[in-house]
Amino acid sequence: MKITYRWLKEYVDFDLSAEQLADKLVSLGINVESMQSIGEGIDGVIVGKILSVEAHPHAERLTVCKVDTGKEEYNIVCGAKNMKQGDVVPVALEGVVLSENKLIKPVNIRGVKSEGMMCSAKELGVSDDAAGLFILPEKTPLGKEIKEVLSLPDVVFDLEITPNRPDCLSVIGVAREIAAVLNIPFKLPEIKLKSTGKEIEKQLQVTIKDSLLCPRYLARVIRNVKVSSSPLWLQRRLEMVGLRAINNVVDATNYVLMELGHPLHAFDYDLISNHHIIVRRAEEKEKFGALDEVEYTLTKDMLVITDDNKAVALAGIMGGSNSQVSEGTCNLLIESAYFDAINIRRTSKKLGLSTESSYRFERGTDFEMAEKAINRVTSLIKEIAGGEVVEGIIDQYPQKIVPQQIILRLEQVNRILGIEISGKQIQVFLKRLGFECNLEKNSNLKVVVPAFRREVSREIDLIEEIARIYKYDEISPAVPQWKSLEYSPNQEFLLEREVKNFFVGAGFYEVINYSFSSEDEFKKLGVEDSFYYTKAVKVKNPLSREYGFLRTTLLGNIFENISKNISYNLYNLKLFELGKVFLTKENNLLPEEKKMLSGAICGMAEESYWQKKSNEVDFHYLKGVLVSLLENLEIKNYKMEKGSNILFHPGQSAKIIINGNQQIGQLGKVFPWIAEKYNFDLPVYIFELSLGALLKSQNTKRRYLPVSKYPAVTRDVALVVPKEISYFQVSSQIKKTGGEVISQIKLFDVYQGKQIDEGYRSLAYSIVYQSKEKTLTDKEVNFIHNDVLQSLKENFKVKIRDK
Amino acid sequence: MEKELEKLRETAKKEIAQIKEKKEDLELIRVKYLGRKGLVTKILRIMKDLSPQERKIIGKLANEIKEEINLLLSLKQEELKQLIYKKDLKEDLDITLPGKPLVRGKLHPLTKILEEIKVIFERLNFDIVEGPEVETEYYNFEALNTPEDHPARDMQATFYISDGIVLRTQTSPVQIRVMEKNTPPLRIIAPGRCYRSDAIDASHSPVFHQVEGLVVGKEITFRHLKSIMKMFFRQLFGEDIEIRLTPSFFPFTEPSAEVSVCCVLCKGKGCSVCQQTGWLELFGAGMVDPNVFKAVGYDPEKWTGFAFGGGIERLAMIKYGISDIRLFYENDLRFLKQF
Ligand SMILES: [Zn+2]
Repeated sequence: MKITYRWLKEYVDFDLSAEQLADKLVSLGINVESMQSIGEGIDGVIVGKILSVEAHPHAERLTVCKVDTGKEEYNIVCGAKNMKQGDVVPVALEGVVLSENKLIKPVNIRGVKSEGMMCSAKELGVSDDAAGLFILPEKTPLGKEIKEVLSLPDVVFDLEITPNRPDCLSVIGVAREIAAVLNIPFKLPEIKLKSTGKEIEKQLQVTIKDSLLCPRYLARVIRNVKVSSSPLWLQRRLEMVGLRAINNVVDATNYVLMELGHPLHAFDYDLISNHHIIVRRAEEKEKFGALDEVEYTLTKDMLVITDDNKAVALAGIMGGSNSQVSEGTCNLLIESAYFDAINIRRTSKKLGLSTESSYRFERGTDFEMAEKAINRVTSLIKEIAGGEVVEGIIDQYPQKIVPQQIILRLEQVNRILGIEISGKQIQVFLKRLGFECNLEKNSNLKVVVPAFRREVSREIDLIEEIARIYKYDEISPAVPQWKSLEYSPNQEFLLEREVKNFFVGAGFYEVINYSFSSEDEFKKLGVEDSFYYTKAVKVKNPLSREYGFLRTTLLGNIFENISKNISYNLYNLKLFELGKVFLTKENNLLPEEKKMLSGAICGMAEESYWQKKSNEVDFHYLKGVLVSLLENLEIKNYKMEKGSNILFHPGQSAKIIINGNQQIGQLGKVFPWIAEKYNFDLPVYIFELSLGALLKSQNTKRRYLPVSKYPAVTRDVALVVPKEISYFQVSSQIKKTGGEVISQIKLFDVYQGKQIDEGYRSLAYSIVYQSKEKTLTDKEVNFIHNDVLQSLKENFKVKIRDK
Repeated sequence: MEKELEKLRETAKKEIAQIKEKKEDLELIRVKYLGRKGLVTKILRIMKDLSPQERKIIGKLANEIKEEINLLLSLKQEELKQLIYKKDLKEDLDITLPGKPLVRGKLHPLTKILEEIKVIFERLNFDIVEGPEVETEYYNFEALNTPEDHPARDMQATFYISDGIVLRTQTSPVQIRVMEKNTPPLRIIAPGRCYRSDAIDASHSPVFHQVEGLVVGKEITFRHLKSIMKMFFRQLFGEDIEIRLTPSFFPFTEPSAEVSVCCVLCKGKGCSVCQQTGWLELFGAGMVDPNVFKAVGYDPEKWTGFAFGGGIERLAMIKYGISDIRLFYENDLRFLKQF
C-alpha cells in the first residue's frame, strides 16, 4: 500500500525526516518496500498563462508562445503540442535548475529568442506523463511556486502490510501507529456534515436478506451533483498512491478508502429501480456485468447488491456497469457496508477478481468506521461536486456487534517476553493503541478491543502489541541457561556427509537440481512404459509444462547438466547429486520419498598435463569409484551382475547387488538413443544408488585385524581361460581353493589375440601367499599354488600359459 | 704364500681404486676377497696345513690385508657417497613447470552453507531432523494456525498435488511432526527443500531450501530467541555483525519478528543489495503461537517456545556474493568450481 509523507502528517504531527519515519515504521512491523521522493529540484518553477501560440517561423515542429507569469511576459519556444491559448502551465525561467542538473537560461532556437521552458509532468518529476505540457487548472494563481500548487516535495512510501493488520491499510491506521509509538496526539479528519432528518427513508429503502454475510449496511443520497474532473490536489494525491483519477465522485470514494481504510461505492441513484436496495445471495449462474466490462457468472454462495430488477454490485468487490456514476449522473446513492470477510475472500478467489475494496473486506474492516466513512465521503462530495445531501442516513444494522473483551494476565506478559513490565505501563501502551484497559485488583487487565482491531482476540495478541510498543530493540537478549539434551547421532545424515565427501574426493562436483520432471522428459528418456512414468506424481498447478511432475529419477536432470556443460565446451565432467525421487504409493496419502545418489562421468579421467596424457573414463573407471565407495562403507557382500534398466546400454551396464539378491543400484553407459537425444558427442557413464539401501547395509563399526608378521610370497601366473568364464568366477575359485593363506589376488593383465587360441583370453594374476601363523616354505607355497591351478584346470578348462 | 698374499693386496687395492660410480661394485669386491669363498678367505682356510710358525706369520698378514681391504672399501664407499651427493645436488629442476593436477570435486555451495548452519546449531545443542516434501495441507497450513480462508495463505503461492496434498511451502510442518512425536523440552533444526509457485526470476525459484528451528521448554522467552539469533548470525557472518528484530506476522508465531542483519556489503550505509536500508531481512521468527501447541496437544500454560527459519539460498547469496538465485540450479561447472 502506498502512502505519502505529507498525507500522513495531516493526522499526526511527527517531527521525523522521511528516513526516520521509514525506520519507525519498520520498528512497528510495517515494512517499507520502497521510498520515492517526488518533486525535488523544482524550486523556482512557477505558474504561467499562455497568452498566444504562434508557429515558429523556421521550424515546423515548434511553436512560439507568449507566457504571462503575473508580473511579466516571456517569449518561449516550445515543442509540445497539447497546449492552446489560455492554458495555465508550469514555467521554468532563467536560473532554475531542473532535475538532472538542467540549468535554464535564455537561448536562441533557430532564430527565435526563448526565455525559459514550459514543463511536462515528467520534467517536474511528478509523474511519468511526458506526452505534453502539464496543464494546470484555469484558476491557478499566476506566478505561484509550482511546488506550493502541487504540495511538493513529498515522499511516497510503499508499505507492506501484513495480513494481521487490516487497520493499517489506510492513512489514519498508519498515523495511529506512529502516534502510539511517539506518544503524540493523532486526529481523525474533520467531518462537516449536519444531516439528521428522516427524509431519506422516503427516497430509499434497504433490505438485508442475509445479515450474516452483511451485518451492517449504510446509505446516503446526494442530489444534484455535478460530475466532472476532481480538483488538482485530489487528482495528485490519488496518482501519488497509485490510483487513477476518474471523476470527482469516484475519486472521493477512493480518497476516503485510502484515508480511512473503508471501502465505499457510489451508484447512480436514478438507475436503481424503485430506489430499493436488496442485499442477498446470488442465484446459481446469475450473470453480473461488472465495471471492468467483464460478465461474471455467480454462484449461490456469493453476495450481491441488487435493486428490484437486477444485480447492481458484487458485494464488497465491484460495482456494476448498469448503475455506475458517469458524466450525466445527477443524483447519487452512497453505500458503506460491513461484509463478512471470509465470504468476500471466497468470492474474490473463485472469480479471480481482486480489488482495493475486496482486499480490505477480506482482511476485515471496521464496522464502526463504516459510519464515519460514509459521512466523510458525503461531505467531501458535497465540497467538490456540489449538490444537496438528503436529510438522514439509512443504517441497517440488525445485530449490533459487541466489542471483544480479553483478560490479560500480567505474569503471562513476562513469561513470554522475559521482561519486567508493570500493569500500569501496559495500560498506558494499550491505551495509546486505542484499547480500553482496566487494571483489576488481581493484577489482571481487562481489555476491550477497538472495532478497528478485530483480529486481536487473545491474550497472546495483546502481548505482541505490548512488545511492539515496548519496542523489540529494548528487549535485551539473554543466553538460555538450558540443560543439554542428549541426541543419538542421525546415521542417515552421517552417511550423507560421508558419501558427499567421498565423491568430492573422487573428483566429482555436486549438483543440485529442481525436483521436477515433465511429460517431455519422460518421452525423451523413453520411459513411458516403465515405473519412471507410471509411478510419477503429477503437480496439479505446475508453473509450466517443464515442471509438470515430480522426478522419479535424478538422471534426467543430470543428463541436462551434462548436455549444458558440453555446450559450454566443458567435456571432462564428473557430477553427482544426492536428492529425493518421488513415487506414488498405493493406499497411501503421500508418495514415497526416496533419497537417491546418482551421477555421470565423461571425458578424461584426470587432467592431462605435461608429464602424462590422461585416459578417457570408461565403464571400469566408474565401477572402480563405486566399488571403492562400497568398500569405504564396509559393504563387503556385493556383486555386480550384467544388465540394468532402460536408461542403460544393455551390454555395458551392471546391477549392483547385495545379500545375494537385493539390487541397490546400477551403473553403465547411457543407452545410445538417449545419448543422442541429449546431444552427448562422447560416451557418458552413469550410476544410480539408493541411499536407504546403503544406510541399511553399511557397517559403521571398524575392528582392527592384526597384520601378519610373516613374509609374503608372490606367484605370478598367466591363465588362458575360455571366454565364457568370467574374471569373477576365476577369482572366486582361486580364493576358494587357496583359502586363508591367500592374502591378495591381483589381476595385472587381460590379453587376447596372437598366441591365444580362439575362444580364450589370458588373465594374468599375481597371487600373494601369506600365513598369519608362520613363515611359509617354498615347498608349502608350491603345493598350494599347484592345487589352485589344478582346480582351475578341472573346473574351467583353464590352461596355464608358459612364460 | 706371502707373495701370493701381497699380490692379492695389490690387485685388491687397484680394483678398489678403479671403482668409479657403482656402489654394488664395492660389494662385489668384498665378496671376491673377503666373502665365504673369497680369495683371502681361501688362504686363511688352507692355513691349517701350515706349520705353526708359518701360520702365525701368514695369519697375521692375511688379517692385516683383510682389515686393509675393509678399510679401503669403507673409504671408497664414503668417497662414492660424496660423489653421488655432488651429482645429485647438481640436478636443477624448472620448478615453475606445472604440478600434476589433483583430481578433486567440490560440494555445491548450498551444501556448504547448510553444513555450516548445521555445525553451528549442533554446537548450540540442537538436533537435526527432516520431514516429507510432499505434505498434507493440515501439516503445511492448518496445524500451523493458517486455516483455509486466512489471507495469510496468499503469502505463499502453493503447488497442489491433489485435494489436501501440497508441495510444502515451508519447512515449518516439520515442527508439527516433531512435536507430535516427542515430548518437550525440544531443540531442533529442520533443513530442507520447499516449493512455491512464484514466477522464476533473479530472486524467486520454485524450488528452494529453508532451515527451520524450534525450541520448546519451560521458561523459554523472547529474550532467548533474540540471543540464539544473535549467536547464529554472528557465527555465520562474523563476530561484529549487528542483528535486529522487528515486528512481523507469521500465523504460527506470536509475537512474530523479522530478523535482519546489518548489511554485510555496505556495513549499514545502504546499497542496492539491502535496498538502501542498511539491513538484510534473513529470517522470520517468533514465539510459538498457543494454537500451534494446542494442535499438537502441548499445554501452552506449561510450555513456551520459539521458532525461526529462513531461506538458505539467500544466506548463500549474501555470503558468496551471488546475485541471481537461478545460478544455484544451473549447475554450470564454471560456477560450481568457485566454492
Ligand atoms: Zn547494503
